Amino acid sequence: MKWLIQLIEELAEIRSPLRPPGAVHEEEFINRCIRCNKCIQICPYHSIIAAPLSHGKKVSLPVIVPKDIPCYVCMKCPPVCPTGALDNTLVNKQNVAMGLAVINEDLCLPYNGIICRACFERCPIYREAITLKDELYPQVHTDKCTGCGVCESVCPAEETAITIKSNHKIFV
Amino acid sequence: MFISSIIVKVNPGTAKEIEKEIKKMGALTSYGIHKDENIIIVAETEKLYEVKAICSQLMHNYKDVTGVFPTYLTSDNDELEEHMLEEEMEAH
Amino acid sequence: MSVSRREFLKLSAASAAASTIGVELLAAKTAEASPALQWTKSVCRFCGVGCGVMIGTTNGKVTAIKGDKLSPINKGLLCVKGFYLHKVVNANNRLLKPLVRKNGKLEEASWEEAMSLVASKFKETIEQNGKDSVCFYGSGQATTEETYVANKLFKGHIGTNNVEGNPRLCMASAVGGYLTTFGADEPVGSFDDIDHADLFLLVGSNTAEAHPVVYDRLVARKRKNPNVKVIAIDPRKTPTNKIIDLHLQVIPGYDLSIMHALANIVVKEGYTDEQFIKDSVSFSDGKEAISYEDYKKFLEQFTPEYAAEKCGVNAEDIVTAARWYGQAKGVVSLWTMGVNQRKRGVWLNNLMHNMHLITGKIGYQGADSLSLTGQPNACGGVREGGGLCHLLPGHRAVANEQHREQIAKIWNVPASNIAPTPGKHTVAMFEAIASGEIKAAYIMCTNPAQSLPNLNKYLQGLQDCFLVVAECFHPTETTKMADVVLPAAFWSEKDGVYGCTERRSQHQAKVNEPKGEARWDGDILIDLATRLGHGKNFEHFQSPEDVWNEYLLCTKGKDMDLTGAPYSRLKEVRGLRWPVPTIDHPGTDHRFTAGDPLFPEDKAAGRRMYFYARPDGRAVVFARPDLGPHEPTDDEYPLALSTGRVLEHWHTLTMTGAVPQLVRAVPECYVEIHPDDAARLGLANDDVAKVETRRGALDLKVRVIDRPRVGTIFIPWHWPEKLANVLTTDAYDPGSKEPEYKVCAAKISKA
Repeated sequence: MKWLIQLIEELAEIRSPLRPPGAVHEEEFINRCIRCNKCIQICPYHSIIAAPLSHGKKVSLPVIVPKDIPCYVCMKCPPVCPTGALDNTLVNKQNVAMGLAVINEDLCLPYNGIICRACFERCPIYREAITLKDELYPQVHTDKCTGCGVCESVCPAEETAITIKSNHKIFV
Repeated sequence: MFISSIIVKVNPGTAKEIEKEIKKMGALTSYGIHKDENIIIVAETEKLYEVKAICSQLMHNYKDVTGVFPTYLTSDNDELEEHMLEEEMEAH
Repeated sequence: MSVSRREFLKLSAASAAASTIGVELLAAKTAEASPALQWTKSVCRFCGVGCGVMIGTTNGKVTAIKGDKLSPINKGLLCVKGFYLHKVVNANNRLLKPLVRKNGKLEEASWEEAMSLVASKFKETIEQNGKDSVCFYGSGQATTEETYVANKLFKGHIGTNNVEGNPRLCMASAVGGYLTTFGADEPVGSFDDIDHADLFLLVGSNTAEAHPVVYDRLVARKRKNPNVKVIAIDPRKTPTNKIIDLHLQVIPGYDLSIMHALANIVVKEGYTDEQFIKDSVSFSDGKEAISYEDYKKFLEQFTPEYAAEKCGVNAEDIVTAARWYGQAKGVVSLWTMGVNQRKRGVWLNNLMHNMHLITGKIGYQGADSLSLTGQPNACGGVREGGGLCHLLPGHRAVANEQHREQIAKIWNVPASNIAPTPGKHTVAMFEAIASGEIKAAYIMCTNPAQSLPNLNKYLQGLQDCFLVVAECFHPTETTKMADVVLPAAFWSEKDGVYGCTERRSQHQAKVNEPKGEARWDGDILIDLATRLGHGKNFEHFQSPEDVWNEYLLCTKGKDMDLTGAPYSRLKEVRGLRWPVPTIDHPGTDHRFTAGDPLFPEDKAAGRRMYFYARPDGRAVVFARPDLGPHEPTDDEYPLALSTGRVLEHWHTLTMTGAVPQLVRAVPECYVEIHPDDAARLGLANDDVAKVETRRGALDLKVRVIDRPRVGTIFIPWHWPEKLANVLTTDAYDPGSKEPEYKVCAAKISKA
């Protein structure tokens, strides 16, 4: 079955993890990034790490795993990229679009009657990317969310209720 | 309606959590965790490309997913080949 | 397609997958059998709001918490701390065995060894150095029964009034305020007033974080009635600001002038309730009675411009606030530590009440002067139970001979056993420990080695004295210094009564056995009493209920009569608000007015309110000077430092620090600084900065945010790794003896 083989081959290519702020489109990113580690070195929070072996061909490209250490959008990394894999002109954290926070309302504490404002409180695009409906229910504003993942890292729900979905859409 | 089975390979010890996540995605049924690192899921989709989308989603969103392997595909009627043809045509 | 055919196809698909990895698939998925979950009504262990919780147990283990939908306070809602309480029960920092210090190290010991050591040390110390060389330091988190036993042992049998508790650090100023203004402690109204008020005045309260469920009631009230307004007087913008219509962002420490200015405008513009003033109010300058006219004259100096200048706000805003106050049908004032933890805490409390009294906005639905408390049983156990050095159970004073006689009779001791002079208040007590005057201390359910102000001054003393700590958790900053640590049963492991902010006493249920060898605090104290030779007056205490029944005798006929609230009833109802003099009395929502069972219709003679706790039935409006903070900012220390809380954590982190989810939410300490100050000082987000005061220094991560006012910084004080209290001042209110945690002078620089 040709289509199946093709599908598997495609899948092997398309893991699209969270890249540092200012990353260009995934395919171009892979082409441009020379694995110089400059962004990894400048990141003051060790948010950016070199992709481990499980990333296959994309090993040692810079990635962010928000659950472990999110990006605090300090904007130190975009200017240091020598190849433009990260957009050097990006200085304003409001313009970052790495991904998008998505709330699972089944798990989110306020939607279950538990007062919690952890993601709202810690969001670096404070009072803009996440707001509270009725001062209780967090809501993500897709136009403001940078996808930094701070919300995911602080979510106190037993199972993390707010997660970052990579912005990179392959099947659109 | 297409019915396909997919093996999701995950890092040992993380299968339970990922299975929980998968269960929350629509159109997917889990057939359990096997040998610690394999989750067998069955997807029911209207379009063939949706299978691809599901696979890529699984790859994207979980760092502990090490591989996604579609293993079987069938249709609830006998027009499987026809559909595939149609979709391929559309894609071009 | 039929479902069964689809199921068949799915199964064959799955089987195909299974065969590729070499396993056989079970056709039927077996449902996980979940053992039965049992729910028991109880009350939350955290702040003073008193939310009803349901504790879920599976096979005798606490596995879940949910809000009690029938609770009139929280109606099923919980904050994130309460939601994770079950994790605290099973936390791995629970202490399971007694510890005794041997050769400088804490080692596990038997109860017998630990208790005989404690008893012999206390005996020896008392014999050699007198009764007052020992002390007890309790907690607003202990149950009323536990505080009662401690009080009975130390004040009634050992004979020292060196009995204090951490509420001294928390709401002693509120007690002082209620006592001096109304003649009796604790609020006139209740939380219910929130649901009917038109205006809220929040002073020094970050309600959204410190009392989230109360905040939700404010939000609900505002949402239902968009005309409802919220005024805040606070140096800091907080999450509470989301519902605030008018924020007077003051320079910390000078808000007494604003309260007087509000009163000034209210009087000038005719918003006073002259009939109410005539009927139920008297005036005083703090030393002697003055006339209404004198008070008006006193207010004249407090023009809006004067207060605005002092506090760094707009004069027009003060005028607006006063007009809103005057025009509102019902006003509820809410305040917390920003008012209480102040050098002039009692005075500021008085001024909060002043406004309600001169406008007559008190004693009916939607109008109250309501001090929010920070601990679950500060009101119940310590204020009502008399767990401070000058008090006896049931709103009594040690200095009052009659009171001593009444309590001595219940305790079955000669009245002469109870010393007629107050013992050492908290700061004095720890000063005496530091100086060696107090040689043995028993600390129960609290963590002063982190929570005392100006810590550096006191730590060595705690190290040196013979320190017994009864605690559920180890290590804490205090248990680390102890000579003996006794494992105490936690919240869900003992019966007891908690009394919350609104005079409501609620039963806390025992649902599981104490972990390890832990015992409930009352039992440990009874053991100590027996070993000290006072067993016969304690042997009838077989359970917390026995203690409660004796305590009820102390409340009979008092303003806080709980006679109608035995365990049998408390276990059924969602708490009762005293006075509740009989078993069929529903409890009281407003005191000093019709509906209060103690309201003397005859004396009131038609007056709406009669403050029967005062000899003349009149509440006092005080003309107090507007003194500033103890340590104003200066050139050397130009910033005003406040400490406070975050939603996810509570006090010294012994509980919330054991819940990984809460730690994840706010993992570490930080210092908040305004962007303007940060720019001036060259500080950026996540820099490490050195915060210094005259007492200590601390390196903290910087959080640049427009929350603190320019010229102020803020530090949440929860983390033992970063003891914010090495910075704070131990200067205290001369009336309430409560230290001024909320204002001191600091400087900050890049570390």
